[in-house]
Amino acid sequence: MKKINIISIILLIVYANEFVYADGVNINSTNIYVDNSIFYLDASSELNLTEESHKALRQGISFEIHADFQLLEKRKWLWSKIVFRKKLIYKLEHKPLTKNFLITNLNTGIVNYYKNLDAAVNAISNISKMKLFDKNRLKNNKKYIARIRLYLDIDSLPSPLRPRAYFSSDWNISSQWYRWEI
Amino acid sequence: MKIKKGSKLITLIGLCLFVFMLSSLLMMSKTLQNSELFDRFYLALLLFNTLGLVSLSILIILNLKRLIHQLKNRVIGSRMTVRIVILFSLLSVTPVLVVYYFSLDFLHRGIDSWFDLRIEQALDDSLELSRLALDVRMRELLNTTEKIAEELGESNDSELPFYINQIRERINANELTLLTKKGVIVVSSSKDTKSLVPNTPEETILLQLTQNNSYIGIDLIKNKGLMIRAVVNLPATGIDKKEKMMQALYPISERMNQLAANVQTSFIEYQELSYLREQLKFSFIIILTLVLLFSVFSAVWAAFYSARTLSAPIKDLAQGTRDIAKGNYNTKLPVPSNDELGFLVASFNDMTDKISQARDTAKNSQQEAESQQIYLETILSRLSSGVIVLNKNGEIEKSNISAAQILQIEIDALNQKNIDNIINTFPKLTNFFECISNNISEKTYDWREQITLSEKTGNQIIMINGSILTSSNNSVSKYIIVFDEITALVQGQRDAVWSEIARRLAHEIKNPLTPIQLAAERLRNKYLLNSDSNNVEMLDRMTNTIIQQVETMKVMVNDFSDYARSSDSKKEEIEIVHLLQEGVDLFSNMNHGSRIEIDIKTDLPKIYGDEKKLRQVLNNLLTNAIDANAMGHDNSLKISAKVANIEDNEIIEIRIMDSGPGIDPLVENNLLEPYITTKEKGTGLGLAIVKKIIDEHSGTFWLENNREENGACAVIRLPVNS
Repeated sequence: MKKINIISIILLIVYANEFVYADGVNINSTNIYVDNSIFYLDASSELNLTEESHKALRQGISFEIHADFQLLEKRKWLWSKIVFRKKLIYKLEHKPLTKNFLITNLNTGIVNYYKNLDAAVNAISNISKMKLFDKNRLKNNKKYIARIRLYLDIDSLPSPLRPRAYFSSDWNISSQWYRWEI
Repeated sequence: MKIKKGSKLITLIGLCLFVFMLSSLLMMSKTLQNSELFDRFYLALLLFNTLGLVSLSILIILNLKRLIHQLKNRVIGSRMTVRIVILFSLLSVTPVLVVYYFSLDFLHRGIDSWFDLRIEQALDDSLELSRLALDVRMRELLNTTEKIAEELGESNDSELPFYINQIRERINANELTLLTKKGVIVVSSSKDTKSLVPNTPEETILLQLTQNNSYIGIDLIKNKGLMIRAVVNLPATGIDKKEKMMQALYPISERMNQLAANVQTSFIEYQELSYLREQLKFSFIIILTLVLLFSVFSAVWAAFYSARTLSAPIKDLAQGTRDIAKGNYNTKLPVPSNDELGFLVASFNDMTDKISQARDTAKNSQQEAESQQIYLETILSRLSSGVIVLNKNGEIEKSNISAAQILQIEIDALNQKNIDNIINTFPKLTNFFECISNNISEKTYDWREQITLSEKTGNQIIMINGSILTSSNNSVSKYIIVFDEITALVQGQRDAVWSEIARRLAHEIKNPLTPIQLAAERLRNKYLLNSDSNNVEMLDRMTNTIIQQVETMKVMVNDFSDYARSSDSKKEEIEIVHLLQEGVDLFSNMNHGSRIEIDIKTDLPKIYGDEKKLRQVLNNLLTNAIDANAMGHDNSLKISAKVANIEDNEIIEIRIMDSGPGIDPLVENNLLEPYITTKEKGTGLGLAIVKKIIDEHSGTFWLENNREENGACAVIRLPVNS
């Protein structure tokens, strides 16, 4: 009886977290295409920052939002193997003097100013022409799964905030893996 | 041994954990002072310390569990351990908790003191001032840009490339660009000749422009840093004029840029710190709590360890005491230290040594006493005299085998028995024990008495010597009774006396008998024929009487002679059956009226004896039986002979039962002694001779009354292999 109760509680917590993730970030659609033998990705998602993260941003806390893409090779008897991985890392911060929001693409170093948060978040949530991998990397006799997820990296938060962020739903801003077969 | 090793290992693990945790907490303290270290190690150290605390708590739980188990099983020292643990824990935890409480208070106050409303207001004001300063400059630049836009609006598109550079230089802009409403660059002039592509405004600015609103703002321009961007619509004059807009990028002075950046950075840092104030407090509280828990757990664990260390020698002492109580005096306890407890344990060890030595001495004494007792018992068992030791209550404490043999009872029947009980159990020993009892009650120190015990095989004469053993206070402690059976001695003496009498009688009487008989016969022969008839009858009768009496006396003298004669036996193997049959035949012929019942087993073994003497025995007994029958009503005789096993010895038992009047109680005890008879004409030697012959054959002989019928029974037991 006790075991069942404990399992139920654990499942409830897990699913509760899933719901939180689903409310925070949703990937609506993706489009992967080949251009000059290179695979590119467009992704459209909905990123909703929580009230707390919004408040923290306005109070000078900067954080990183990661777009994590993975290409998995399906295997018959084993779990799928990651054959390619790419991460886009955006740093989001607020400049009180100009009241602008700053997004720095940490992969390229490109910095963009946005007059409001929606525009900044919109810029992050819509990925355009993300360069992935060479077409030759894919083998004909294999099946592949691509997946992507968008999340706020808690490790990018200031250290004093991290312990609380790990256990607080205010900082669990993450989408579920969005999968599709290639 | 395994338990001790396990305990040592746990202690070692605990110590290592303690050292690691202490180091970890020190490192955490260091990280708090260094933001870079804090970022890198804070979480890892937090995790490590939490795990350490969990491990410590597991150690404590294990100790607690073991203590509860010991308490339940009432293990020695467990209660003391509980007391020590509680005391130690209270002593150590209370001050730590007090320090914790005040530290928390100071922590809250300390962190809160970083944030002052005035500072916050000053920062806000400075930021606002910076904004205002920039706003003034931006408004000026926006006015300038709008004027230029009006100026450019009046010129043709073809002239613009020639003007724009001059205008840019005139207004001191870094970059001046004309764009369509859709953001397509028409013409541009830049101070930076290396920059080929001019910067374009973003969508939101374009959108703002379409609504006829000019844009002025400080933007970060790629490769150029912060600049004031002014975007205005160009007035559309003339037919060929398309709707255009102009963007001017003005540099911000280095000084102003730096000051604004400083203000912004300070403001951000303060805001960040303000936002993280609770988190910082939380982090400090976590560290402080970790330190508190570490101190408390370490103290409790140390309390367990100390309690165990302190109670171990006491536990050992208690166990040692138990061992001693159980008789294990070789217990040696390890001396724990050089303190009072160590002294106590050393004293305990000395005590056990001394007890052990005393025990060994006592054991040796006991062994010596036992050997003495064995020695005494050996002597007693080898003594032919019977020895009985009675305590002052008259109970037999000890007796030797000879005592039991003389009294003809089992030795177990003697030991640990009261005299009265023995008398009740063995009435035949009444004389013996009454004699002892009387002397004990009279408390005669040394006494000597002879008593006689009646046995069916004859009287048993016992000489008893008694004396009193006194204790140190001269009170009676024990009675020693030593006794000997002197029946054989007395009987021997008596037999010797009787033999001497018989021999003298035979010698003194037999010699004159023949002349008397001859004289009487000569008198008879000489005067019987010549005397008158009156005298003849008298003479005949008198001489006849003399001759018959002399004859009788001769028989008597012969009997005396036989009794007195030394036992010159000619022993050989004889068939007792034949002897019996012969005797029965003889007497059945002599007494036709007797009814003789014979029960003689034909397979009786041979015995080794003197045939002539045994025949005499049978003759004597059969004669006695016939004489007895003559005095009784029923003239019957029963003769039986069988093999029996008495005390592991094979014997032949012969019984001759008459139907006479039985044994006269007056002579019952002395019937086998010489010259004791109930017959008118008996010499009293017949049974004495029978007894003597049977004794010579190592047999036993006695007379007893028949149980169911009248008459007496003569019983002979002869050993088969003697």
